[in-house]
Amino acid sequence: MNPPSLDTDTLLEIDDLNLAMRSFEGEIQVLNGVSFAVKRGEIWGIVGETGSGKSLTGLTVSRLVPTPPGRYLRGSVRFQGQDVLKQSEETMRTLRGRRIGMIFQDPTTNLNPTFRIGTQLVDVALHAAKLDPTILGLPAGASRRARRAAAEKVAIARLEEVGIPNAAERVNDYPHQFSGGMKQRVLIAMALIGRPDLLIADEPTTALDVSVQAQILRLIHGLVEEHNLGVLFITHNLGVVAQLCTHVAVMYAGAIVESGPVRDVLKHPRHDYTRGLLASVPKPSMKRGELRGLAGGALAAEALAPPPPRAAPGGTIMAIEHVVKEFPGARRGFFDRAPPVQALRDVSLNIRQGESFGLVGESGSGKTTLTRCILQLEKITSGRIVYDGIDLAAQTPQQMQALRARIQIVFQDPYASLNPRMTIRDIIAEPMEIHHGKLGLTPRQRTDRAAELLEQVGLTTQHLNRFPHEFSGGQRQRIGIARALAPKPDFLILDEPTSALDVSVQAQVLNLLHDLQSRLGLTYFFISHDLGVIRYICDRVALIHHGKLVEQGETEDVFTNPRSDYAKMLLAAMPDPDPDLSPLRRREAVLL
Amino acid sequence: MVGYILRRLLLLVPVLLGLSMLVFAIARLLPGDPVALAAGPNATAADVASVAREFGLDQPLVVQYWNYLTGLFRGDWGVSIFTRRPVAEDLAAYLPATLELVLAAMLLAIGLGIPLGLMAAVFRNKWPDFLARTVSLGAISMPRFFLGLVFQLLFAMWLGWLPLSGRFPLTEDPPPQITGMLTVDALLSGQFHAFGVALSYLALPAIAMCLSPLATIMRMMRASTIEVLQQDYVLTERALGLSQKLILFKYVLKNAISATLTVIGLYFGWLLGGTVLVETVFDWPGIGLYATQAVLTQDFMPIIGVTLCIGAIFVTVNLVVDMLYGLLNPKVRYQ
Repeated sequence: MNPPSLDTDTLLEIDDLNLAMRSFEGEIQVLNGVSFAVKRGEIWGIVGETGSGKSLTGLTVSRLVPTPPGRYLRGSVRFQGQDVLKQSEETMRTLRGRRIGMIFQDPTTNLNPTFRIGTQLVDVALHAAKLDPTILGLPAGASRRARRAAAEKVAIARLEEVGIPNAAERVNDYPHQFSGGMKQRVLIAMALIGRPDLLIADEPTTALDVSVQAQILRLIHGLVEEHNLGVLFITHNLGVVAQLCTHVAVMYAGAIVESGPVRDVLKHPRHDYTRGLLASVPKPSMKRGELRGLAGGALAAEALAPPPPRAAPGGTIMAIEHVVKEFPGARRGFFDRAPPVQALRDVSLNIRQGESFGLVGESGSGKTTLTRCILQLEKITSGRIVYDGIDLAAQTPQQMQALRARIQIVFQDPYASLNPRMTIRDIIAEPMEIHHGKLGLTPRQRTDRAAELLEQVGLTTQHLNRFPHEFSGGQRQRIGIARALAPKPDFLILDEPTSALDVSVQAQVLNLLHDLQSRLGLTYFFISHDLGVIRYICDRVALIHHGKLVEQGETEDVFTNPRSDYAKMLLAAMPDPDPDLSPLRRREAVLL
Repeated sequence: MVGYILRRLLLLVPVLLGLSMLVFAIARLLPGDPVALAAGPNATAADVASVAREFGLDQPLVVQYWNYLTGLFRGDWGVSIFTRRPVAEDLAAYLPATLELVLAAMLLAIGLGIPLGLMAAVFRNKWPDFLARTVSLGAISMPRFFLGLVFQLLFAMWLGWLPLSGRFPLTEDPPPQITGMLTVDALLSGQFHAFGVALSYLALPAIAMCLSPLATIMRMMRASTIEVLQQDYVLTERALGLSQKLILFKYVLKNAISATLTVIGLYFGWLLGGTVLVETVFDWPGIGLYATQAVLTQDFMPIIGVTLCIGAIFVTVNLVVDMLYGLLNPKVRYQ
């Protein structure tokens, strides 16, 4: 608890904040005595997992939590001395955009898609200028036209400040004409246009590639130094906290379990939950199977029985030889077409029986196209994909159908990849029905096997008759894995299987994958943008950039001794949860 | 963009060609003999044959179709067997009346439906929303001709505010013919008294007709506004302090209106083809009445003419709707 202070540097003081939310099951308390204070120049990281209340804490500062269903039970949120919970909506509007700027997680959904970015920035600038005319640099009583022109100038200046090239022209572009990172910059420019004292950033880099994330973090860091802002940085990524933040508050189940200067908390965590959270982030020194998940807010017990040691990798099972994939260009006029887009340019890899092969790349690099080509969902333009001696492109649809039982995939989003109207039993049994020819199971046997698979992935037979919405993200991903295992495959494509999950759940799923590989002798083709995860689980790794393989080799080699510039850049951009190792703190311009 | 419009207009040709062929064939396949009907109850076989020759109906179907088609290019839509008047003349007289009615109904439906939908969404699950939803459900459920009768009873018979039926009183001078739509013509020629009279005749049928599109537009608008209000960018706009008014009428409206636009386009065609009940109740001299008469007497040429007209208007309206999508959504690219 922070005693009320008269310190003029203190921007925000949250004291014993208690918030309840009404739901179908009655009122649930979602914030439980949250207290902390942010001063100018401080970057407070709020870390926690899904449902810990970190976003609600951020929204409360601007009082954007709808009431009802929300209800403040107790406590105060003082922003520069005034309790925002007691202000009128009109007063709150004088704070929002002017004194408190906010940016949110997904830059693609946070800009209005049907308006030019200039229009959106100008409206925010005009709003802020109503409260503080100096923002536009105009005398009071300037004409509407003059204010508009001045607002546009301010918008362009702010866009330049956040690093948008050709800002004067780009104000006329629509959001979809910007990349994800550029959109987030636009949103940051929008949040900064009113020259706020406090910036609330809710997972602003979660939807971005690591290299772009590094740029955005540098940008925020620079802005704090320049304008002496206070920042509330909400994230689930401990690496980002270690890089950027001066202070951190760890939230669990609506309460802050530990807070303080970032080095103290991350280096010497006192609370079990903080320790657990730190332990579930894959680190370079960890061997496979050493990650520990969290259970009920504390470190989970060690795995009951350690899995048998993995067999050494065998010969090549999947050979990708000089694969090129072109997509036809966009139509131009009646007959003309733009030149074809090369999604994969001469990609060659060998995956050995029983190993985990990692593929790392950023959005648009061709990762997903490659998996679609392997699964024969796309026809390759040239090259060969040979699985266990069989050229996949040369197979008839019937032969390919039989092969599909051997090559299965686990998808990224466990919320979207399970049919919400099917029971878990039906979801897992579906591939067994499709591959009835190979497996030849009766419906009764399918149910038995579904139950067996559920137990293998750490769920119980009681879950068979439930529906996907009754499960958490991690449990759903386990169901997705069970479904992939149903037709007894030997090759599993894992397309970002943990990127939608919290770190502690990610740790559990990674351990499960490790365990299954040892027991079943599976080969993994593991696609991820998370280098920590790749390093933890993969024996060998390939880096793909603009459809081209830029580097491949033994994982340890690539990580400790990267040869390509791209690999070096990616490794430098990867946020390390050790505050002493963070590039921003080292003040060395390692990043782009 | 211009290329796209031209291509879409070019597409009108096969659409109308196919439509004319279809209607031509179906009209001939109907049981009964229109020629005998037109020749009168006491006509001899020779009389019937001579009428058939007069209208070219003794020739093979393909030749008849070809003659019709080439006639169209000369502006000749054929001649009604029943009234013996050129179809083109009839259409010129009746189509504007229907267009006026449909346009007035759609203007009312759009003008009221969109703001009511927005209001219902903003006050979701509060009394303005319940009221708007209840009334719109009633409006959708009530048949148009019945509403028309109720309106006549209420406003014309009991209250005496508006005329009972018809389009313009015989006792007054109509405005000079420009578009054929009396209200528009009156305005164009500056005859405000005639405008008032024409409007008083137009009011009841237009209101009776607008209610079901009004209710649909309102419900669509409500649903899409609720969806847009839950978008992330609306939260961002609020978090940056923009006023509710600006957010709703500028930022939300433009995103929410696209889905409604589709409904507007579809309803336009639906109203054009479905005016007959309202026209009957209000004795409105439009193509609905004209087409019904033609169907009852199996008079081919008017049937085909009306069908082609409605088809052409429908395709054009939907082209306009597609163009509007492009204005509303910058991601739509015309190729």
